[in-house]
Amino acid sequence: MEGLSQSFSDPLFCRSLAAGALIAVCAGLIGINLVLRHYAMLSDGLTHVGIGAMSVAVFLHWAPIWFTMVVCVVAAILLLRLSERGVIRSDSGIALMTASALAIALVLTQFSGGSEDQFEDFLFGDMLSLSSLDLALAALLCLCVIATFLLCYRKFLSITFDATFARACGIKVGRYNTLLAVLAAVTVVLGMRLLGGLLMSAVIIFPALAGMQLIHNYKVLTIFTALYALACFVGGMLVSALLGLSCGACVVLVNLVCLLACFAIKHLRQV
Amino acid sequence: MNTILSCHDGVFGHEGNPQLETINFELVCGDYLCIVGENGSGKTTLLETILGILPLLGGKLDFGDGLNASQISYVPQQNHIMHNFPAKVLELVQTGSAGLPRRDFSKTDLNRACHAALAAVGLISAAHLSFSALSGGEQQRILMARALVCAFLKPQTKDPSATQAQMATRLLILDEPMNGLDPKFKQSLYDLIDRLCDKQGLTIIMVTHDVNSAVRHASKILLLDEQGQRFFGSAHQFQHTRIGNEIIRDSCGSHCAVCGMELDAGAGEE
Repeated sequence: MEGLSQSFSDPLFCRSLAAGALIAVCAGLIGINLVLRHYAMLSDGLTHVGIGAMSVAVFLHWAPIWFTMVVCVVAAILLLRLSERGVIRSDSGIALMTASALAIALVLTQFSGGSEDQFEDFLFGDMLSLSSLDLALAALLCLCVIATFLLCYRKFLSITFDATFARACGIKVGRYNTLLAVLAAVTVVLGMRLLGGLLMSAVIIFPALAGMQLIHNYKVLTIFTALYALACFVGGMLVSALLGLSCGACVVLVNLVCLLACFAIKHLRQV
Repeated sequence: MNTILSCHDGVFGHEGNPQLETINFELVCGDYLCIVGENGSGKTTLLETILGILPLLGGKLDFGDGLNASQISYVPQQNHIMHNFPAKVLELVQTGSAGLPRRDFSKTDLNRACHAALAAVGLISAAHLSFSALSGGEQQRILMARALVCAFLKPQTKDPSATQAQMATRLLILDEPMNGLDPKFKQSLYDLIDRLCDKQGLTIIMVTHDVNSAVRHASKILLLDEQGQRFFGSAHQFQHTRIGNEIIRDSCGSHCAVCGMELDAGAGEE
C-alpha cells in the first residue's frame, strides 16, 4: 500500500493516470467499431508504424509526437483506401506495414546511436515520457471522440452493420471511415507513449471482445466498452503502482483477466 | 402514368470495366420489375448503379416523376451482413432512416415507423430481441423492415404533405431477398411485396433467380445474360417469346402464368 500512496503523491503518475484514462475511453469507443468491421488489426499495424515514425523523428531530431501522428494518420487512411478498392487485402497491408516499420525503427535507432532502452521505450511505453502537452492532447482527443460518437451514432451503426446499405442511403461511407481511421491513429499515437507500441492495440481490441461476449445491444455495448477500457486501465495502473511493475503490461493483463471472466460468464449463461 | 426510372443505352460495370452494355428499360410508377439472369450476368451491378453506389459508365439513367435518392430503399443480399451482429432488432431497423436528416422526424415517429415496418414483415414481437437470436429467414425479414422504415415515417413539420412526399419510399430495390427462406416465408414475402406495390403504390425492382415466381408476381421482366440484355417487357410478353418460353417450360410448366395459354402457342415471337 505504501507504493500506491507514493505513486499518488507523484504528479507524473497522476498525470499518466489521467491521460491514460482519457485515452482508454477513446480506445474502447473506437475499438468496438474497428472490431465489428474486421479492422481490429488496423490498430496493431498503426502502433508499429508509430514505432517506426518515432525512430525517424528521433533520428532527424523532429518533434516525435507530431511527426508520428501525421505518419500514422496518413498510414491509416492509405490502408483503408487501398483495402476498400481491393488493391491490397487489409491483413496483408497491415503485415507489410508492421514488418517494414519495425525494421526501420530498429535500423534508425542503431544508426542514431540510440540505446536499446530507447527502443524498448517505443515498444513497451514509458510513463515518465508523458508531458502536460500529452495530457492536454488526450483531453482534446477524448472530447472529439465522444462528440463524434454522439453526433454520428446512427451513421456509425448503419455503416458498421451494412456498409452497402449505408451507401445506398446516401451516407458518405468513405468520409466516416476516414474519420474513424484518423481518430484511431491519434488514439494509438497518444496511447503508445504510455503503454508501448506492442501493448496499445490490446487496449483497443480487448474491451470490444469482452463486450461482445455479454451484450447484444449496440448502444449498451458502445458505452460498456468505454467503461470497461477505463476500469481496466485504472485497475492496471493501480496494480502496476502496487507491485512496481510495468504499467503497460499490467493494464494488458488486467484486460486479459477481465476478458477471460467475460468468456466464463457467457459460458455459464449458456449452461 | 409517369416514368419513374428510365435507362437508354446504359453501360454498367466496376472500375471502368463494362459488364453490361446497351441496356434499355423504362419503368412507370407502380411497376414491379423482376431482373432475372444467370450468376455473373451483372444484375447486382445494375442495382448498385441505380442506387448510386457504382457510377454509370455510359448512356443515360434518369429518375423521373420527381424521384430523389432518399426515396429509394434497398434490401441487399443477406451475405453482406454479419449474422451475429451485437444489436437489438429495433436498433438495426432504425438504421433505415440513417440517411435522412435527424431533425426531420422525432424519436417517437421513428419508433412508430419501425414498429409499423416490423408489423408489415410479421415480426413486431421481435423488436426487442437480439438480431443474432433470429433465424436466417427472420433476419432477411428484418432487412426488409429496415428498408421499409422510410415508407412509414411521418415527418415532424408544419407542412406534413410536402416533406412526406420528399421522404417516403417510392422505389424499393431488392437483391435476391428470397435466398435462404423456406417456402412459407417466401410466399409471405411475395405477398408483402405485392401489397406494397398494389396498395402503397411503391415501384419495385427485384433481382431473383426464381423465374417461376417472377412471372407470377412481376408486371415487367428484364432478362440478362453474359451477352447483355436479352429481353425487357411485360411478364406476359416474356412468356410468349422464344427465350422466355424456353426458360419457363424448363422451370415451371407449360402454361402462361398471366393468361393461362399453352406456351407453345406463342413461341417464336421476339
